[in-house]
Amino acid sequence: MNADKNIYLKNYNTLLKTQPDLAERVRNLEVSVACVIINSKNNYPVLKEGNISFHSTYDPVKEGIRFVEANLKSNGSNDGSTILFYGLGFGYHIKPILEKKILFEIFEPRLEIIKIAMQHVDLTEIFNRKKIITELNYFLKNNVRFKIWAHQPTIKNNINTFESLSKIIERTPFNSHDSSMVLKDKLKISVISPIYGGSLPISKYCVSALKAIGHEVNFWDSSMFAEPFDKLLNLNIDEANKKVLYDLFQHLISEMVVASCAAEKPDLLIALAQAPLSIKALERLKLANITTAFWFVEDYKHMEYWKSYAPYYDFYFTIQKGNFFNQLKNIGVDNYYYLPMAADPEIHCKKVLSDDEKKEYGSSISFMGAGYYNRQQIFSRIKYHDFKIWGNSWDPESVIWKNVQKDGNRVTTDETVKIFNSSDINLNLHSYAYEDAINSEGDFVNPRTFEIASCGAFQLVDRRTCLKDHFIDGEEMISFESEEELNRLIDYYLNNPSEREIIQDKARLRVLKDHTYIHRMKEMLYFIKDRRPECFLESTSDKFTVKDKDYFVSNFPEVEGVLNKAVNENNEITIDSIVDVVNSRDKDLEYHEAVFLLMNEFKNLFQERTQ
Amino acid sequence: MKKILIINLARFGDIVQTIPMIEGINHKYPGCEITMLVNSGFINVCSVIPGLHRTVGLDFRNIYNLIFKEGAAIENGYQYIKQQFIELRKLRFDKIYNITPHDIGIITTYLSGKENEFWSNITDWSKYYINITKNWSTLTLNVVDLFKRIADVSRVECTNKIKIDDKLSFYADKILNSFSVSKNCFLVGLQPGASTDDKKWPLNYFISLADRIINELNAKIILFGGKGDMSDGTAIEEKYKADVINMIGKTDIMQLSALMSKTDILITNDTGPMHIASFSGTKVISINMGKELCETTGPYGENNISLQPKINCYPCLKPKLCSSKTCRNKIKPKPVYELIEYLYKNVNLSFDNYLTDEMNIYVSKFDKYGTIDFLPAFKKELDLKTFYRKIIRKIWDFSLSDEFNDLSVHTVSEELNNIFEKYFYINNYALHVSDAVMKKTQILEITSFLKKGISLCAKLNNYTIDINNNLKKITYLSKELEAIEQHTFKKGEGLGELEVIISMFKFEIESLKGKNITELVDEIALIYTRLINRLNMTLTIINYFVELNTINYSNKRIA
Repeated sequence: MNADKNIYLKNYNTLLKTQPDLAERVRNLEVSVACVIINSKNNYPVLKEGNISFHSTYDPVKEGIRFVEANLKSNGSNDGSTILFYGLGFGYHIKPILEKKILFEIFEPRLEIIKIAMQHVDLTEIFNRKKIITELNYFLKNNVRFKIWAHQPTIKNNINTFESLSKIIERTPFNSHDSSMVLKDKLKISVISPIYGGSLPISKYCVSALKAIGHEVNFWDSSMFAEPFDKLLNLNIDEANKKVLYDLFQHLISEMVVASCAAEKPDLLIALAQAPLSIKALERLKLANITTAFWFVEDYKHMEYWKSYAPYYDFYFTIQKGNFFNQLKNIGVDNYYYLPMAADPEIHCKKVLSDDEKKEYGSSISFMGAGYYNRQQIFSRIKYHDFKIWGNSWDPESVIWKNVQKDGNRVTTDETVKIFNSSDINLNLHSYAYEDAINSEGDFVNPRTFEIASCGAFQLVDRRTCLKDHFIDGEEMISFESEEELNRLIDYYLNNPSEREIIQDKARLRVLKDHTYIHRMKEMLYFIKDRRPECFLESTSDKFTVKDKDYFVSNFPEVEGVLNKAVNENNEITIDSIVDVVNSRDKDLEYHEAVFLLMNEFKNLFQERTQ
Repeated sequence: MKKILIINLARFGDIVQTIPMIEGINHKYPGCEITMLVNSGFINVCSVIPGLHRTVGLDFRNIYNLIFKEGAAIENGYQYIKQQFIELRKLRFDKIYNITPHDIGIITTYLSGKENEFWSNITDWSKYYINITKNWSTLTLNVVDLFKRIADVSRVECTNKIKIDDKLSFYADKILNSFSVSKNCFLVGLQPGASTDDKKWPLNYFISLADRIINELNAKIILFGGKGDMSDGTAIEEKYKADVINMIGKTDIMQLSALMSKTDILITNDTGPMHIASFSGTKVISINMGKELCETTGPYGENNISLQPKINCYPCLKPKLCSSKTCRNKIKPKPVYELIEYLYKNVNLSFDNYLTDEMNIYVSKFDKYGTIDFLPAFKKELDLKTFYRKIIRKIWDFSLSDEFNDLSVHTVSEELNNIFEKYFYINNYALHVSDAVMKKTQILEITSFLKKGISLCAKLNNYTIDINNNLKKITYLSKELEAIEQHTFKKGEGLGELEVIISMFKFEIESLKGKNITELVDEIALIYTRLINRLNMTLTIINYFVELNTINYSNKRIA
């Protein structure tokens, strides 16, 4: 059943009036849910996702009425609580309550469902009556007693969010104490890098970005094990034995990470692709109530280990969407999120090079990266002489070996930046392991795209399906999808340096605006906090400080001595620092000191009750 | 006229449980004026307490807002709290009794008193109470009796009930009449709610029970509870409309008390309304689960019944963390019904395995000194825990109250033994003896340290005459004393149920109040002596028991 444009527009215009932000987010949303719309026996549209039908395929309207009646009977709001519909679906189960004088709210965890519903059913009545809540944060800020009326198909598709919501609502049983809990601004985060590989520098960029946005970061740099790990891999022993040692080695590192987390008690652990964390370690981290996230900065089609590990992480971030999302869903992972690659402008920056450096790293055309099969083949057909290739895994027997620099050894990040800065054209061809071709169906953009752009350097990149989501093709980025086109573009841009400059400047500005690791980390944390806010709460009492010392002392001179001694390293006077001063006194307790102690006891009592 | 302040910043139930304490104080100080400081959220509860002259509310909600709400500032909290206590101090109390647990109680006591001394209003029983709140499971007295002891009125006979005036009585009659409840009708109250889930008997059990009460006893049901329990009430009411009076969420504290006083029996979780019932003269069957023991918080009054699950993890140490809550399913509706029948029809409660299979049944009894205890309805195994808890109960009375000075340890031992014989049996006598011998050895070891400590105190006292010239010696002896204390604390850890005696000693040492070294040393010696006395009393009682039972045991063997 196709989307009905008229219904969509009618819904959209209503939503635009009632919730303009949501309308805008829905409009820009690309629906990637694998679903079908079927007609019920009595001709109403019904959404079916996988095996799950969102409403009765016989009579969804009657089913909706029964849903409300049954809930009113067993789970009514006669105690003054507000009904919370968990799941909008196609709204059949919500419409019957519109006629009743009952307080209710609607929560829908997936924007995609709202968009699909808007395309097929008239929701204007619902939109006019109620705002659709899409973020769990809402429930933290609103001290309302809710009773959940759960739309089971919505739960089945997103059990984690449901559990989070239930926990939040349980935590806020219409109790004034609960407003004391707010989302932490500053988190304690552990970042776990792989031992080596492409995601090792990315983990460092993440650490810098997280620190830059004010979080406390503990970086677990697994590259410290690179040397012994290499030695292990090069041992001249039976492969089966090597495998056992490999597992033990990984287990040891995992245990070290778990022990470190037990000591540090981070709010969140972020692991990068290939981080050496075993499933057992992940299970134990879960038991320790540590939220875990994995950023899989790899092509899921090439690296298949994600199938075993993804279900053990609380959040899974990917650089691909579409079919990958369906596959994740099939193995029970539903807290996934598309988080493309980025650049670190502190590292990937414009550089002024010396003449010697220009001579060493500069060329008309360059390529920096590993010698994958498609690159070996395509580059061997490029006719330009001033073409330098950097990186490892290039075939010394091939015709392009003469272009390969540094004997095909790895180059450092610093060298990479110099190469980007001193090349007229940086070629950027995504790898294709088994085909002599440009893969224009490729569904992710590599980090090099962002890094070259961030350096303010010019690049020609093979066209990817999602490239247009990040750069305006032709203005900020020039792409090709065939060798002919590549050759033509090389010719053209080598001869038009001023055009190159305009494009590379725009590309750099775009990266700075939208594609830095700071952007990505903010997005990652926003998603995590929204999905599981209950894990990142802190008590407002932690911010319970003296706000106006002068006023305080002028009205209550007796406190001056204590306050002067209680200023802490952040130049604040907190109740804790005051209590420390009072407890370290060497004389009898004074009256004003007892007032502070009592205040502190009340703070502890209230905190104990909220926990 | 004595002005007396009771600091009671705990919950609903704790306020109701002060009724005998207040009666005792009025008896001890005729014409006194009693003020009670409470959380202002519970100020209405005080209106049903007889003998209370004034109530002052401390606004917890405001304090909470001053600490937690956006823009909270320490200076605002300080201003509010200071002002409250300035007003309270203006009343100039002669005596202050703190019955608020934790440090809030101690600090509040200090802030309310007229003397600028921290411990001036903290009596020995208050200290015991403060110490016990750190490990509540070691409390062996009912809270009501503990409050009486704190006010030094433990042996005053108290009979006061909740105040119900004619207007309230009329209100209750009107409600009951509207549901056609005649005076002869058997009215059973159910309180299905509780402050936390771990204290809640399953709702379906309440429903099954209601079914039998209505159909087999031809009785009416009245439901009690707060607004949070309304859904539970609806579930019961909908099933038995004609025979159920659902008052959940519909009464204030006075109305609740009035209706409770007209109720014949209340079946309840461990809640505030349970105490209202017991002080309204209503018979109570309380269902204890989670961490509460009837021994300490059970319904006060003669012949109330308390049920406790038979499960190893009861009483629960961490009810909030328990996911299984198995204890809630142990007590089944059938035996509860039998107990109602027993109380209603006055039929004999015959021992039957099913009754005690999964639960223990306790009945409340006052001893001749007016202290309540919950004793098994049917003879049960005297486990070591119960054995020592019963002993400790007596030890505290001896060592903290002057009121029990007329008794000898021998008399108490005899009385205890009578209780053991009447209500308990011993299956594994050897276990008791071996444990008692082990404890005896440990106690003797501890008392020998303490005696050494007392002689060190005497030496110290001599040196304090010339502190400057004896500084090294004083320092050395002080360290020796500290080592003796540390050793005592450590040894105390092996005393099991008796460890609470050592923890009280520790608390007393930590709260020394002497102003100079001579005073401090005297006080230390006094605390050591007190501990020795407590331990000796314990030994005497244990010995009495062991000797007596060794004879009995030998006689049995000979026979």
